[in-house]
Amino acid sequence: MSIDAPVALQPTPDQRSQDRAPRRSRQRVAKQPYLLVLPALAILAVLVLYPLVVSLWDSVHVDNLEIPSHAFTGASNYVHVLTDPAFTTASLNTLMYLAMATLGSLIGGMVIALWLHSLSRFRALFLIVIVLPWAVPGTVNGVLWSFIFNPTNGLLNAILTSTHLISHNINWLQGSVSGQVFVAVSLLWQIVPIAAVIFLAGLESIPRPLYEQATVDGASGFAVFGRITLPLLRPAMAIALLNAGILGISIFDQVYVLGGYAPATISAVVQIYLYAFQDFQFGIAIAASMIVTVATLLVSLFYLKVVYREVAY
Amino acid sequence: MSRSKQSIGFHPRRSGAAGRHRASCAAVLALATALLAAACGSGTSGTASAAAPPAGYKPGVLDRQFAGTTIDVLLPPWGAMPSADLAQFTKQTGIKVDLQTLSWDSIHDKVATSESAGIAPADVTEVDWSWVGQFGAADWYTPLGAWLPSSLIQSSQVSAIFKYQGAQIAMPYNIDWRSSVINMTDFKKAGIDTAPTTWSQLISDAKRIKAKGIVQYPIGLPLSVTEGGATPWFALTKAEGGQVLTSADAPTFGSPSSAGGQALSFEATLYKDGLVPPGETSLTDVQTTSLFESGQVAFVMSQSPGDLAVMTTPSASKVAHDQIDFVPMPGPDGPAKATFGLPEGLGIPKQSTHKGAAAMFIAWWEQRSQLLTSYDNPNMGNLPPVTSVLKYLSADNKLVDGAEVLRILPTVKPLFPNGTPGWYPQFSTDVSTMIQSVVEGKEQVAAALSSLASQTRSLQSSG
Repeated sequence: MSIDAPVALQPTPDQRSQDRAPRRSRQRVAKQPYLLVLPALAILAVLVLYPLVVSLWDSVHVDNLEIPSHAFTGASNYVHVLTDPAFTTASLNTLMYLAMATLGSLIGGMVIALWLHSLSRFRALFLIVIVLPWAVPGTVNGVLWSFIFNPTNGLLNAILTSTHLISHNINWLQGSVSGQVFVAVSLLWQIVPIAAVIFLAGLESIPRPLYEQATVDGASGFAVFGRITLPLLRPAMAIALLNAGILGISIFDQVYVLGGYAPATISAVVQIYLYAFQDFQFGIAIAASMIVTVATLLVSLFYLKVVYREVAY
Repeated sequence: MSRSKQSIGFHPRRSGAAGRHRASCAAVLALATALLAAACGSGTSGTASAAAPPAGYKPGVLDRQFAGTTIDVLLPPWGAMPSADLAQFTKQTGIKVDLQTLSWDSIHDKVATSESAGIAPADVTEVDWSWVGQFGAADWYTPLGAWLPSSLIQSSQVSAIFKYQGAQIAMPYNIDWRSSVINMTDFKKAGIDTAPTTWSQLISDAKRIKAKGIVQYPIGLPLSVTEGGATPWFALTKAEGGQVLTSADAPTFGSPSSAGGQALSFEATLYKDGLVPPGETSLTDVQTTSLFESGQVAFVMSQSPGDLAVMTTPSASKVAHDQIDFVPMPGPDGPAKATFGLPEGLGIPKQSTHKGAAAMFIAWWEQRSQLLTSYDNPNMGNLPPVTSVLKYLSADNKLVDGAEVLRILPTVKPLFPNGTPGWYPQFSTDVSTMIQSVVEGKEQVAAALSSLASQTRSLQSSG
C-alpha cells in the first residue's frame, strides 16, 4: 500500500514489522505464552495429577505393608470403608465439625469484621491480635486447648471451681456432643480470624455512597444490613464458607491432640490415619481419602453454587 | 485484507484448531515433564547401610571404629539416658548421640509414617513388645544377630519376645509387667491396714477412703483409647488366671462370665461408683501415674514396677514420703494368679545408615552400669531385663520393694503364647474403645464383648 493511502487504511508500525518478520519468529512468539506457563503446569502435574493417579490406582489394589501382594481388588476397599462402623462414626462426627465450623465462621467472622469495620482507630492493631491464632499450627493449638480442657488440672475447671460455678472437675471432652463442641471451639479459635479478614475485605469494597443513599432514603440499620451489606458480601461469604468447610472436613490436629482415637470425637481424617499408620492398610486408607475428597468437592460446589453471586457496583 | 484484528499469533481461519493443538501440546509436555520428574524422584529416598556388619566389626566391642558418626535415638521419656552418660559413651567411642524423646504412642506413629516413606525414623528406636508382630511383618528392623554378641542377647530372660520368625529385631532394655501400687498412708488414714487382695475388698476400701474425704477418687485406672487404656483389662483378665486369646489366637472373652467379661464388668463398676476420676476417659497411663504422684489417687490398678523408683523420689513425687507399696493386682477371689510381660526394646531400622554405631550404642546400654543408671535415674526407672542385675539391686537394697518384685517375676508370662500378632495395635485400639464405651454407659457388657470378639476374629482371618 502506498504512503499516500488514507491513514486509517495504512498498516500500523507493528503490522508493518510483523509483515516483515520471518515466519519462524512469528511461530516462536506464538509458543511463548505456553512455554511460560509450562513450569507451573509441570509443578501442578507433579504435585496434584501424579499423586491423584497413583492414589486412584492404589485404592483399587491391596496395599498393606504387612502383606507383599498388590492384587487388584476392584471396589472392595471402597466397600470396606463405606460399611465400616468406625468410618461411619467418624464421618458423622465430621459432619458435626463441618456444621460448627461453617456456622461459627459465618457468625463469628461477620461479627468481628463488622466491629473492625466500624473502628476508626487502632484497627490495624486489633486486626493483628485477632489474626494471631490463625498463625498458630493446628497441633500447637490442640495442645494449648488440652491444657485448658484437661479434666484434672485444666484452666477451665480451675476457674469454674474457684468461682464455685461448678462443684467438681468436669471432663469436658467426654461424651459425643460436648467432646465435639469443645474440639470445634479449638478449631474455631483458629479459623474464625481468617473468615473475619475475608469479610472485612468484602466490607471495605462496598462503596460508601450506597450506605449514604440508603440513609438519605430513611433505611434502618437492619434494612441496610439485609438489603445492601449481605447481598454485596456474598462473594466474600462464599470464600469464607468454602475455607471453613474445607477446614471442618479435614480437621485432624485438634481432634488427634484433644480426643485421640476416641469414637466420640474422632474425625474422618483421623480414621484414615488409623487405617494407614495403625493398621498399615494403605489401599483402604486411600479409598477413604478419595471418599473424603469427593465429599469436600461436593460441599465446595454447594457453597459456590448457592452462596456465590457476582456483584457489580 | 483488513489487518485491524490481527495480533501476534492470531490467524482467523485456523485459530480454533491451532489453539486447541497448542493447548494439547502444552498439556502433553507438562504431563511428560511431570512423569519424568516423578520417575527420577521415585525409589528410596536414602541409601540404607548394608545389612551385614563391615569388615573388622566385633559385636559388643566398644571401639572407635565409628568415631565421628552421629546417631539419632528415638525413645519415650523413660528412655532419656542422662546427658553425662551419653557424653561418656561419646568419649569412649567417638559416636555422638542425638537423643529425642516422644510419647510412647507417638513413637509408633512416627516409626510407621517414616518407614512408609522409606526414611529411617532414627538410627535406634523404641520397639515395644506389642509392635514386634507388626514391625516384623513389615520387615522394618535389622536382625541383630550379626550385630550383637549372642551371649548378650541370651542374657535377658525376655529377649525371645523380640524375635520375629527367628530374627532378633530388638534388644530389651527393660522388663515390665503390671501390678498395683498403693499409697498405704492414705489407706491407713481410713483405718485400713492391709492392701486389698480381692475386687470386692478394693471397692469397699475405696468407698471408705472416699467417704472419709481422704481422696475424692481413690482409684487410678486409665480409660482413654490408648494402649494404656487396654493394658489394665489384659492384666485383670490374667489376674483371674484367664487368657485373652487361646493358643490358636481365638478370643476367650465372648461372654460376660469369661475372665475378660468379669474384668470388664469390674472396670465399669469402679467408674460407675465414682471411685475413678471421671477424667480418666481422657487420660493415658502416664498421666494416671502423675495423678498418683500428685496424691490425687491412692491406688493405681495397673502400674509398672519401674515407676516405683520415680514415685519414691521427692523431687518427682509429692507422695514420695508416704508408704508406697507394690502389691499383686487384686483378683476376683484373691491376689492375681499371673500377670503378663510388657518389655521394651531397642531396635535398628533397616533404613538406618549407621547400623554399626547404632549396634554399639545398644551394646553400651546393655552394660550393667547403664542398666543400673536406667533404673536409678528418677526420670527413667527401667527395671533391668537381666535377672542377675535385678538380684544384685535387691541384695543391695536398691530395688524398691525388691522382694515383691522378685516374687512376682516368675509369674510374668507373655500375653500371646504364639507371639504378638501383626494385628495387635488394631486389636488394642478396639479393646480400649470397647472399655470406654462400656464405662461411659454407651454399650452393655455383653454386647460390647460380642462385638469385640467378632472384630478379633475378623482381624485374625485377615491376617
